[in-house]
Amino acid sequence: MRLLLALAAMAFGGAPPASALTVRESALAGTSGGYYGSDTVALVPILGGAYQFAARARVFRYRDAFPGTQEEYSAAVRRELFHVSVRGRVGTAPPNAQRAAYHLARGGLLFTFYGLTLGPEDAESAGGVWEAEGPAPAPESFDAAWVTSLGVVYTNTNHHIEADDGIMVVVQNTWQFELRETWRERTSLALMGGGNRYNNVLEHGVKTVYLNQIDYPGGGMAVRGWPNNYAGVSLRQGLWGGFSVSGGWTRLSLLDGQLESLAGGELEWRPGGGWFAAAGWFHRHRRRVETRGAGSLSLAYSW
Amino acid sequence: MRHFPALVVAGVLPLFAAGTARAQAQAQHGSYNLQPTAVTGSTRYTGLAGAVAAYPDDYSAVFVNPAGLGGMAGTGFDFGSDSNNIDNFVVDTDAPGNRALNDPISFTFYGLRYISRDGWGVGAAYQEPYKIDGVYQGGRRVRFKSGFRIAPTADVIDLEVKHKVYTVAGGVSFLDGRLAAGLALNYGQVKESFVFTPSSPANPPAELEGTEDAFSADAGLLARPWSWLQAGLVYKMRQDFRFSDSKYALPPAFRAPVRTARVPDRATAGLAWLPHRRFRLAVQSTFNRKMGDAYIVGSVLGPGGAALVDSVAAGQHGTFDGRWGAEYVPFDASDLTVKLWAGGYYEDTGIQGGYRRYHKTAGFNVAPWFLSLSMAVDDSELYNNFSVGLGVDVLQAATRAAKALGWRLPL
Repeated sequence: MRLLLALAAMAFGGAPPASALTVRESALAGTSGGYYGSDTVALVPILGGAYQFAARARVFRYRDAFPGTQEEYSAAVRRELFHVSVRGRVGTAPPNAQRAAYHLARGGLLFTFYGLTLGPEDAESAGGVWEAEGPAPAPESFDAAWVTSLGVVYTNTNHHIEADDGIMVVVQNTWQFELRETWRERTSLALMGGGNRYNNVLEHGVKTVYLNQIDYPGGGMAVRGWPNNYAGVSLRQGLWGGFSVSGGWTRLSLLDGQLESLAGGELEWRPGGGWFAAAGWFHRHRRRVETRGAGSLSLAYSW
Repeated sequence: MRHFPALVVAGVLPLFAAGTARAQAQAQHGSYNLQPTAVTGSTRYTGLAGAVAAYPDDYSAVFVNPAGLGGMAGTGFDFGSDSNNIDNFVVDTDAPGNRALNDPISFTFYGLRYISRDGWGVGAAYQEPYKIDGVYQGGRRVRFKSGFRIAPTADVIDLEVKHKVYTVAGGVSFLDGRLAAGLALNYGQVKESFVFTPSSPANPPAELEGTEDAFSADAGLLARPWSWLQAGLVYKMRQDFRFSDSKYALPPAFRAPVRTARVPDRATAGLAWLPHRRFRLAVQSTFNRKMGDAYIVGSVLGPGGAALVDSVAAGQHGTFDGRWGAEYVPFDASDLTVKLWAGGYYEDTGIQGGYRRYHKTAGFNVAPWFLSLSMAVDDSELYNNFSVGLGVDVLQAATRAAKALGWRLPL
């Protein structure tokens, strides 16, 4: 239930698909049989990639933790400008056995530096998003040897939690920051971090639920509890023959003082003809509490 | 429920009033000051330490200096929304470096301005510049040789104070944009609510709630004698929200849990040095008129003179503050503008001789497309104010939409 590429496209960036429509389906299954998930993403670029719309359905189930499933449906838009990319997302999750509904709104910015020059996220789209006087810079004029990107994402999630005296609204304000360095479009390393602020003090008695609306590097499975802050690293390496590997690790601290470690990676393959396939492994570990692992398979096709 | 008996006093005191151990217990009925002596406002205002009277370049011109609507500090049609989240620590007033339980306070500001290129503009804003809403554990004042201490009790106090201000303003410039004048009208509301639940049957329960309102006006001027210098002058009229004892009475055992709230008269003068279109440096001073007996919100005397929360009343003398702010625009293009802010100011609470501390402020604004995101922090020895702002450049959004549709805007 997670794919670095889909996340990159939806949350932090990633080259827009040149095709008219891309559909991606990912499935995740836990080795212990308790966890199942799926992630379906459809991407549609318009106006030469200046806008990109996305629809996404995320489902997961901890069969040994709560009955039923957790579902989240969201829609996103990305507007690429010459000096910055702007993205937004709204989503909703219907009630389930562990909580009432939640709604989320997300906004983000991504700045891309080619050397020391600020430019578009996708150099190929420079001509389509150029606004200043004179001719647009040619894509090859951007120095792609070292590309630095800075990203910030804010997510406001309105959780409705069943409490002793009725429904309690917990507003989770999540800030995420990313610094990514990419070398010759082949090797990419990102440092990430972020934190949460809540609208009120979450004293004991507030129900703990599984959350998966925030994307963490290497975070394939849902996290149990209310996140406090995190730091993570993400790596991507292009190989040969259309293969590449990507991986991530996150150290996540929770409000109850617990620490969670998330790690995962995928082997990706682009054989051509619009196809994409990936296989991965994700791991979630909470010291002296539980450890879970899950494998993932993904398939995407672009028309 | 918060567990520090002195939370209301110790928490509010550093922010709005004194933070001094010299405050004396008194039983007279005064008014309290709703006007923070620290910087609260839009994110640009926070990042520039409030030194914006001479160059009020956002919707906060509506309540900072309405002359800014005359076109001498930016034009356009934009909407802004800012929130201030203050990590307001309970402090030991004898040792201000000691911080404990964080009792955050939030303020919100919204505004809209339209400034034409012909030298006139209008705006409207909504502020919640003072808000306290919490449930507190009761306390009893105990005298020690070294002073007073608060001993916790099992009493419960539910306290809420909310100040709302609605403002409309207009401005116009003259003399080829070298002089501008503006006027703002404010309608303010203060809601006070106090519920006391005693732990002992010997004390009576009490409940009180009321809302009072007031009108006031602000007047502002901007002058640009040279292209590189701009001066601002603002007078803000006081507002009194009269919560009289006769209208809001509790059993005789209680003394004045709900008191008159006041925003005092203020006068501000500022200068902005404009050596380059991408850099501004401003200095400013505000005179806050004296308040007489300024009670601290939540200071309540209970039956037998026992302090339910605390009982602090303190004269607040008139103060001059000094502040500076610098704005730098490192990047300015049609699809992205970046601004950096830094500033500082001396806060003088004016309570019983004054309590002064220096604040350092910093922030930035990123305006991609037709959107705007700002963040700023005001850091002092007792607390931090984190400000976040979101805005929309309505004119640019409309222009972009019209261009995409092939229309021509009349603006």
